[in-house]
Amino acid sequence: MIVVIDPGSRIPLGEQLRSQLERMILSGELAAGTQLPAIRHLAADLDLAPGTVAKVYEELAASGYITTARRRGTVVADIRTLLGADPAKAAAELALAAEHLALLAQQSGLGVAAAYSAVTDAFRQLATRQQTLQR
Amino acid sequence: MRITVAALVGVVVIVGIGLLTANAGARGVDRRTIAWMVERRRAIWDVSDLASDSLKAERQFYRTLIRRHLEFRRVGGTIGAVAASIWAVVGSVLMDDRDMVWSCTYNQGSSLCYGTTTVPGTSVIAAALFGVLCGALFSEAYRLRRLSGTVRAASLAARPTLELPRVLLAARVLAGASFAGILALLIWLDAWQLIFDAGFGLALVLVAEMARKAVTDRPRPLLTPLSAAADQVMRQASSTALVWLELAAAALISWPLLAVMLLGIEVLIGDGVFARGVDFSAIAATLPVVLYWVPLAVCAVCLVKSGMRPPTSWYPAVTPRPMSAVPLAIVSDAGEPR
Repeated sequence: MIVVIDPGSRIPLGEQLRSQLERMILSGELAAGTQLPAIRHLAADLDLAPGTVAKVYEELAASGYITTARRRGTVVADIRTLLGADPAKAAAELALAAEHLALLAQQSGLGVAAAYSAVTDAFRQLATRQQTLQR
Repeated sequence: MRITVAALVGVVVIVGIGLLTANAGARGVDRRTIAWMVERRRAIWDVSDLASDSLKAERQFYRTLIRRHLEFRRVGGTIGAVAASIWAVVGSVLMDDRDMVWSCTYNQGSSLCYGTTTVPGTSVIAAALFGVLCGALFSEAYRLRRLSGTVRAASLAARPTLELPRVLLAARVLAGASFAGILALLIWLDAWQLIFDAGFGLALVLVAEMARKAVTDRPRPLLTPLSAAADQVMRQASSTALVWLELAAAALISWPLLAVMLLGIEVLIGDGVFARGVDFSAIAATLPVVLYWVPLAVCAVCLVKSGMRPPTSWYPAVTPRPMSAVPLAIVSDAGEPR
């Protein structure tokens, strides 16, 4: 379980970290109950300010992906209950993600077919990764 | 100029003890120590086809860090022992041995100062141990150089748990109790010179805590699995060493407290506060000698245990040679070679 950030990218470092952690949690790579590193440890390893990592953890906690307790530290939440508990919210988030994908495909000039192909590939990779984790 | 025989003997003995203590913790960077580090790394991560260049680089990594650790201890111990010896000679020139006990209370108090009339030179031992302790503490402050402008990666795996938590707890309790005791004596006896003892001792313990925290929070390299595992081995060795050093510092803080308390007990015995008619002279004569040495002995033992070396019972596993490599002589029943 490794996170990688690129200081040369135009995407802010905190956003890179947040999106990777979110993707790992949603794909099951970070299983429910997994303890995440302490803020100061992750900040030291990635050479980030502790405040940046703290903000990422706060955003993920606000979205329900992680929980923070004083003694236990930061732990990945069970997102199945999070998403399954509110199907309307899950549908809304899916629609939002689809809108972002459509915008990106349109602005880059790749078109609908490329977007469909990207989604299909992503599902295939997700299935492969989950099979590997189960082994 | 008068230099007592006791001071000269104390100088010779204490320089020897100081240097031995500095070196006893690690008898050089020997192959057995390197093999032990490699074995600990294998328990964390191992592959069967590790390149010989990688193994060589790993051994060099351990050798460099351990050598640095040893050099700091030796330099610190030598400086401490020399400074303490000079103090002992100067002290004996300026005043009687008896007055050495109180002379330092009027100067910069520290663990250099407290000695007794029955054990001249005890304070010099403390100074030598103090020097080794300082050197050993600062030997753990190394930092990995981070490559700039490159992609940064971090593992989300948990960091290894703390080594020797009970020893750390004992060190904190002993340091806290000693510090509180010194403050109480300071107020009760109006002996404000004791603040230096409290300050020096507390500074040592705080340096040990900060060094251990720095080791625990140090960034983890993620260049290769081998480098990550090797870093974990050194991190565990450093944090173990620092825990023993903190206990050594706590023992050193307790020493001036014990000295003052026992001097007080001697006074009380002399005033007949305890049971009348009982001859306490034997106890009064031997108790300080015995108990003054206990914290210093504990300090010295902890300094030895903080050395980065394998347990005395550990030896590397021997790989048996294949039978084809062993020349055999085929002999006849009569014992003659065929």
